[in-house]
Amino acid sequence: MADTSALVSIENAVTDYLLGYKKTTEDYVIYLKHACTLLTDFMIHDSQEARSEKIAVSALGIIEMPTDLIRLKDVCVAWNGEWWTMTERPNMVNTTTFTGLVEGHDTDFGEGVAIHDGITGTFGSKGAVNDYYYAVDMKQRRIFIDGLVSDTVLLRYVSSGISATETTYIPILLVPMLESYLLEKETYWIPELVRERPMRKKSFTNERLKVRNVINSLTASQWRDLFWGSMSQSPKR
Amino acid sequence: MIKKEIRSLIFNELPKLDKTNKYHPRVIDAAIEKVLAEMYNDVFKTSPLGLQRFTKTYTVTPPIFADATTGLYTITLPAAIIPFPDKASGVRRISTYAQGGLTFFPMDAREVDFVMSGSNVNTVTAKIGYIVSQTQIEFYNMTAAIATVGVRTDLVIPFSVYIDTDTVHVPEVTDQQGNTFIDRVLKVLGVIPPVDLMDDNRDEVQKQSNSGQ
Repeated sequence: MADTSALVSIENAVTDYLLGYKKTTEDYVIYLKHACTLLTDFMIHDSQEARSEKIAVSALGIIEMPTDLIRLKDVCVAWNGEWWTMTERPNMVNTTTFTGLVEGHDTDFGEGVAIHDGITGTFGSKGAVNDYYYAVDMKQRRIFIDGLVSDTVLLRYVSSGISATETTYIPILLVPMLESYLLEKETYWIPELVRERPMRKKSFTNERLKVRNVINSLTASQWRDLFWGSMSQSPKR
Repeated sequence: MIKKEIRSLIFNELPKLDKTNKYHPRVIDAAIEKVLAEMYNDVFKTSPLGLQRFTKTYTVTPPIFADATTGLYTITLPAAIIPFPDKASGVRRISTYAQGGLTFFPMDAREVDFVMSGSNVNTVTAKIGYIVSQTQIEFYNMTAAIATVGVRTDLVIPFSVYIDTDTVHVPEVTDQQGNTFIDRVLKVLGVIPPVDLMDDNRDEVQKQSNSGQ
C-alpha cells in the first residue's frame, strides 16, 4: 500500500495550516497569497528544480524567452544521449536590423556573424572552446544563439512554480517551512502578534535551513560515487 | 430551550408591578433579540469559531443564477442575520450541498478587487469566495456545477427570525457585572414603565400629534 502523496496542492497546504493552528477561514485568501510568494521565493533561491522546455531557434539564431522564465540555467543540445550545454558569451552581438517589416542581420555590424575562437591547433593552448554560445537579453526577453539556427534546443530555466493552467503543487518537504512562513507573515496584520515576529522569523529561518540541508546534501550512494569518481583505473595484472 | 419557552420564561420573570402585567410578546422578543445579539458578539470576541454552535442551517434552493448583465452569482440571504465585525458576518459557513472540503471562504469586496487585479491567488485558487452584505451574498469564482446544485449556509440569525418551536441556544456568558441572560433581558425591559405606576406629578411632556400641530 502506498503512502500519502509527496506533493500537496498549495491550497490544501494552506487549509491544513488553518486547521493546525485553529484559524478561521477569515484570512484564507491572504494566507494563500503569501504561500504563492513563498513558493516563488523558494524556486528562485533554494530549489534545484528547473523547468525543461524544447524551444525553437529562429533562422536568425534567436530564441524568444518563455513568459514564465525568471532565470535561465542552461541552453542545451542533445549529444550522445546527454544534454550538451552551451557557453554564455555576454558580449555576443545582440542586435538585429529591420528592412521594412522584416527583421534580419546587418553583417557589417557584426549581427549574425559566427564567433571566432582563437584556436591555435597546437599544444599548450589555454582554456576551452564550445561549438555553441548564447547571450541573454533580459530586456528584450531574447536569447541569441551562436552555432545553431532554425533548430530546436532545450531550455532549462527557473520559473515561479505557480501553474497558470493547472493545480499548483508543492513538495511535502516544504510544508513545515510554509507553515512557519505563514506564522511569521500573519504578525504583520494581527497587531497582538507583533512581539512574536522575531521568534517566528527565527523559526522560519530554521525551517528554511532544514530544507536547504535536505536539498543540498548528498546521499550515501552519491558520496560513494563522488569518492570513486576520483579514482584512477589501473591495469589488471 | 425552544423560542416560546424562552419568551415565556422572561415573561414570568418580569416583576408584577401592574394588574395586567402585559408586555406585548414582540416587545419581549425585541429585548431578547438585543441581548442575544450582544451575547453572540461576546462569544465572537472570545473566539469566532465558537459561533458555529449558534447557527441555523439554510439550504439555498438551486440553481443559483448569474446576473445576465454583470455575470455575478448572488443569492438573497435566506434569512436575516446578526452582523459580526469579520468578513463572514452572520454567515458563518457556506458549504457545498453534499459534504465536501473547504470550498467557500469569506472575503470582503476590497479583497475581491485586489485578487482580480493580477494576484497569484486568482491563478491558483479553485475555491469560491463569498461576500456578505446586508441582504445578499455575492460569490467570487463560483462554478456552474456548484451553482446548479445549490449551497448550504449556516447563519447566526436574530431571535425574531426563529419560529416558536425552534430550539434557540443561549450562550452561557455573563457581562462584566456578572449578569446572565435573564438579568440582561429584564434590565432592558426594566426601562419600560409599568402602566399603573404613572406619576401624575411628573413634568408634562408636550405631545406632538401626527398632524404636527
